[in-house]
Amino acid sequence: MSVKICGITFKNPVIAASGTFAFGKEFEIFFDPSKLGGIALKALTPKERRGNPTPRIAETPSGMLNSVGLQNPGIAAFKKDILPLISAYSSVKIANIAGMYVEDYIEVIEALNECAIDMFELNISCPNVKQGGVQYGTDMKAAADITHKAKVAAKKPLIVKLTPNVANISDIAKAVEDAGADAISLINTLTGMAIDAKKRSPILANITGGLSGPAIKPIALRMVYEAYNAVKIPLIGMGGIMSGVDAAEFLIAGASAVMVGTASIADPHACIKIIDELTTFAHGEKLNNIGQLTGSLKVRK
Amino acid sequence: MKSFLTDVLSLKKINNGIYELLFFCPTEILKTFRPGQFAHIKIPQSDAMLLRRPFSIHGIDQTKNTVSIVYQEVGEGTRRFMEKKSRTLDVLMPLGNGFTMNNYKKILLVGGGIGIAPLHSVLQQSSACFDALLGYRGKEYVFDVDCFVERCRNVIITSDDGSIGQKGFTTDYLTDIGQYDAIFACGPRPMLQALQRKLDGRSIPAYASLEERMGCGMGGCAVCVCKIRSETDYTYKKVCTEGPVFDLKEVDF
Repeated sequence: MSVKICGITFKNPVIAASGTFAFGKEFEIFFDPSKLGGIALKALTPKERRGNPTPRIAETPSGMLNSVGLQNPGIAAFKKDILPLISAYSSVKIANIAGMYVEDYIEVIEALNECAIDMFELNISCPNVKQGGVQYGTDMKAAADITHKAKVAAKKPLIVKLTPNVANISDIAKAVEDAGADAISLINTLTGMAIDAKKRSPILANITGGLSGPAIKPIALRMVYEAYNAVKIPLIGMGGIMSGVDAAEFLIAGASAVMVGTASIADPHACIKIIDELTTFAHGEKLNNIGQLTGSLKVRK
Repeated sequence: MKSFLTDVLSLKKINNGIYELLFFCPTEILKTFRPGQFAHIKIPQSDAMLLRRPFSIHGIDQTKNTVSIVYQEVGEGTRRFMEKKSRTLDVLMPLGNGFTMNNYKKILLVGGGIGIAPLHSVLQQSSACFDALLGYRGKEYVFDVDCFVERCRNVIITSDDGSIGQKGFTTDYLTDIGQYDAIFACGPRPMLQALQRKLDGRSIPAYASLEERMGCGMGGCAVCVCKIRSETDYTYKKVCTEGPVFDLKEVDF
């Protein structure tokens, strides 16, 4: 079940998605986080961020909107209080890097370069902050620029996490590949909105939020497929994965691994269940290794 | 905290839009329950509704191994429980910190509406001496009055429309606070806010159980936060794991 991405071995291709798994500790009462292929940690910014006002969540058909707004303790508190608790996990640890300005991203990368972190995931796709986040991810030039600067600063493999809120995912994927990205993860959430008709008001205090869950899976699959045809670097696919078969679909579309987010919010055991189901699927398909699925889509001529 | 599948033992309507749900719970999980904790329950038979709903626990029965939830039907999710095919529940419990019992001898309970439900679990699990102020919207929303009258020394009932008890708010009947070791409250925000104002400058420990739209219920997603005063300003704390019970004085409404 193992896969290799940027020279790093994942014991299986299932990674807990950033923002849905905190820093891992919370899940220990349900399962050993070392059973996961990887853990993408909650986004980190240089200083503590309190995040957005509440409500921060709204349920929508087969999905949910969130507008957490990158609440996190900042890098100093993370290194002092959290990292020592999770450094023993044998899963690949991926730090999700966020900020308002390019300098913020670089500061977080430099602060974590010497830490027990295996990879960086550059978050240029958060739709819930006024500055930074998605504004770097929707513009090819800006995306390439920040990717290049992050790559120069980073002493660990750099994944760039892309937003689906763009006209052409292939162009952005190509732009960050050319700028030095080692891998791409996609898709982050789609900007959306929920309204309480009786009150005539938005449900989220932030008005808009990021849509995730099975509702976005067809869009995510299409974008992974398009990106796979546009770039050579490995892809990590995500968007509404709830089962092992869902995960297999992303691998077939071109991903080398997958991230699972919203499923963990609905069920804390989701990642483990998905690993088990994907293993069963692989056995059923008589695969020698799970990597055989990547990009194996058969398109009728 | 564990997740388990269980069957609905009974579901009955106790008043206008208010229901009591009873389900079986394994002994080892029941043993860890503290009053004020909650259960996070997946809406049965629905792929379109992904998220669990948090319900405060109304009471437990350690001999019959059952958990009682008293809830108000507010939308499609809670309506689903009434459907005959919704017999199996996916439950995650017990969650949250619960009330700090601290060997308090004399406790005042202040409850508003469906917020009275978790205070019932306090009554049930503690041998302290209680007084209670219970506020309802009106007569047709009343529940649990008999249990409180039986178990408490004094109970004052209020209602918004005067159809039961005194017309007005629970906090209008807050007198002689000095006799209590602690106050436990749960109810609508305006009630908690009024209580906080009334207690301003008093040193009595007061705890409030808060409610917020919730995601995972276990501290993973950071959506269910509430504003808690800090030395300089405020900070957001997670209702699911750092609450739902907070020191009322520290809540920034």
